[in-house]
Order: sequence, then structure tokens, then C-alpha cells
Amino acid sequence: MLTILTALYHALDSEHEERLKNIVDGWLPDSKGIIAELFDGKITVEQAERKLPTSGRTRTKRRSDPT
Amino acid sequence: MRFCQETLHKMKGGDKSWDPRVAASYCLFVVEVFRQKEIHREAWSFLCKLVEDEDINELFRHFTLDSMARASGSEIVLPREWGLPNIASLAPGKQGTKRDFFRLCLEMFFDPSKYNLMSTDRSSAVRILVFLWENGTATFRHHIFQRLSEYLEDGAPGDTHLLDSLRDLPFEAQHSVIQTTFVELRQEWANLGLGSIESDRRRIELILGTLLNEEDDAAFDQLLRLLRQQPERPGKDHHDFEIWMTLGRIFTPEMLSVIRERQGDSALYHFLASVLTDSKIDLEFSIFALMALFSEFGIEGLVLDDRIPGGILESRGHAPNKYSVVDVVCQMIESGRRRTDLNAYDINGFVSCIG
Repeated sequence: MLTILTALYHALDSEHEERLKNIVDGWLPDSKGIIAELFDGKITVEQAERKLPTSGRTRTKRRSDPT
Repeated sequence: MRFCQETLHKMKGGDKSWDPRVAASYCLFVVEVFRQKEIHREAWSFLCKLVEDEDINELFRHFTLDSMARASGSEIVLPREWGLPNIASLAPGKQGTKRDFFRLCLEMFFDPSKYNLMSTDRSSAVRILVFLWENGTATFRHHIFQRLSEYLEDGAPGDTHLLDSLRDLPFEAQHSVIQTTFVELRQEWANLGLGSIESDRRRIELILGTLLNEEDDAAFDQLLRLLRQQPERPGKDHHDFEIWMTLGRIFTPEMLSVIRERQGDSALYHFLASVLTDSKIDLEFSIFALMALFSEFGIEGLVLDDRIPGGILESRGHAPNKYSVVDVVCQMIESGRRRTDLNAYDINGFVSCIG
């Protein structure tokens, strides 16, 4: 899924890129830096997967999500 | 195989307690068990034996053929070399009223009350004809054509107009009329109980059959219409599970590969991009389409259609549960499942979870 997310990011123009980034930040606030590095091509998907927190995480919600 | 042999024995023994429909359900069950064990061929040869055995009640043989047609429709591609029942065995048998299967099918369709059948059995008759027509050899098709032609000449109920139009036409023209009739029969079959779940299932079967077997520009449009109308079913807050699974099967690599071969790259690409971006289609299917688009066409596949950027970011559903494709992708990542080979159950689980 990270591969697909990255592919989506690279397929978008700058305006849509920003919207996608906002959504990602809303869902994955604790992984913001890692995802940014991934989108910038500084790390690979495999490296990002290893870096993402894997335990003790609770489900997050988008800030804009009224539920 | 023991169960199969026992069934065969009961049928031959003329056990009157076996209602043909119950027995046919049993056949479907056998097919399903064999499929679970991935030994389709054994199930198939068992059913072929039943259909070809002239000592067995013709209605039961009819419903067995129906089971075969259903099993064939639920498989990706039925290998031709497995063979269809012997055409000779479908001609008038030793028992009963000397009807043959094709005539029985047609009578069941046009006049189901004659056999005291439920109206849903009409679909069984056409399913068999469609199955034999699509999987049969040229000789087989010719035979079906002849039988349909004879039946209509005998005056099928409600078809006097067709009968009149057939008279005085040269053979080639008659053939064309018969083929048109066959298409109409298929359509009527799909339209039985229009709007119901059962009707949708029949339509999906027909569309899938078309997509896998012949080039048809309209098939994808029909499929898109079906995908769009699923969430709108009155009284249902989610898809019918069987419809959902049947539609979901389209996005498997095996199915996509055959569809791509038959319909071409461009048509498949356009279809997947439409499913991904159409706001009237449920997110589950859009996620399937996204994964299929990515695996079939790579990153380039995400930039070739102008609808994609807006489509993946647009929220769908009703407040407070409005989500976009990207929302679902993020949630799938967040959940910690780092698998790219997610199946239908996973995606349904994710979408249900956030929905």
C-alpha cells in the first residue's frame, strides 16, 4: 500500500499533491517525517516500512473527521 | 467420489423421492466441494456422466446441466478439453415423451407452467442454452440453431410475430433472425425480476461471459452501470455478499489477464480508471480497481487518465462517514498490515471498519 500511495503522490500535480499530503498527515501523524522522506525519494518503500512504528499504535482519525 | 456414485445409483434406481431440483442442488454442492479441493475435473466428469445417462429422468438431467452452467459461470475459464456432454445424449432419450433437452429448455422458458415449475426455472432453461451456445463447437451451435428454429416453426407461445418474419426468408437471413432471438432470450433472462439481487447476479454472469469470450464495447458500460447501482438497492445498507464477491472476482489477476486479452489494453484501462474515480461506485471496488490498475499498468497507469487526481481525493458516502480512496489507502497503511496482496475480505474489512 505504501508503494501505491507513493505512486499516487508522484502521479499528481502540485495542487493535488498538497491535498494528498494533508490527508496522509491526518491519518498518519506519527509517521509524517517518514512519509515525507519517502515522497521526496530520500528513502525507499522498504526502508519506510521498516521505519514506520509497528506496535503500541492506536487507531488515529483524521482531524477533519467528525466521528 | 463415493457420494457421487451413490447419487448416480439412486438416480438410476428411479428413486421417486428425489425431486430434480433438490438433486440438482446436490450437484451444485458436489461441484462446490470439488472446487474447494481444486479437483474441478472430477466434478465435471461426474456431472457429464449424469447428463449423458439416458436412464436418468430428463428433468433431473436438465437440472444437472443447469448445475454445470452455473459452475462454468463461476469459474474463470472452463477448459474446453474437458468436453461437453455428448450431443447424442441430448437428443430424445429412451424414457418419457421423447423430448430432447433443447426443446425442454425452450418449453421451460416459454411455458414453465407446463411442467409446474416456478418462474425462476425459466432462467435455468436459458442459462443452459447460453452455456451450450458459448461453450459448444460449431456443430453444437448448429444443432441448437436447428432446434430453436423448429421450435419456433411449431409456434412457440407468444412468438407468432417472429414465426411470421421467418417465413420466406433465405436460410442465411433466418439464421440471423434466430441469432437475434437468442440474444433477446439472453436479455430476457437477465431482465427477469429486474432490479432484484437475483437479476443482478444473472446480469453479472452474462457480462462476465461476454468479457471473457468475445470483444464487446458495451460490456464494460453495462458492468459500470451494475457497479454504480449496487449501493442504491432499497432496504440494503450494503452489497449483497454474493454480488460483491462475484464483482470482486473481476479484479483478480487471472480474470484481468483474460479480459485484457479479449477486450484489449485500452478498454480494460478505461474501465479500471472509471471504477477508481466514479463517485457513485463504492470504495471497495475503487480500491480493487486501484490495485489492479497499478499491477496491470504500473505507475504510468495512474497518470494517463485526467479523472484520477480528482477521483482519488474526492470523498464519497454521506456524513459523517465520508471517505476518499486515499483515506482508505492511508487507513490500510495505518492498520499495520503491510501486505500488497490484500484480498477481497481484507479490503471489505478495512472499508467496513472506517465506514
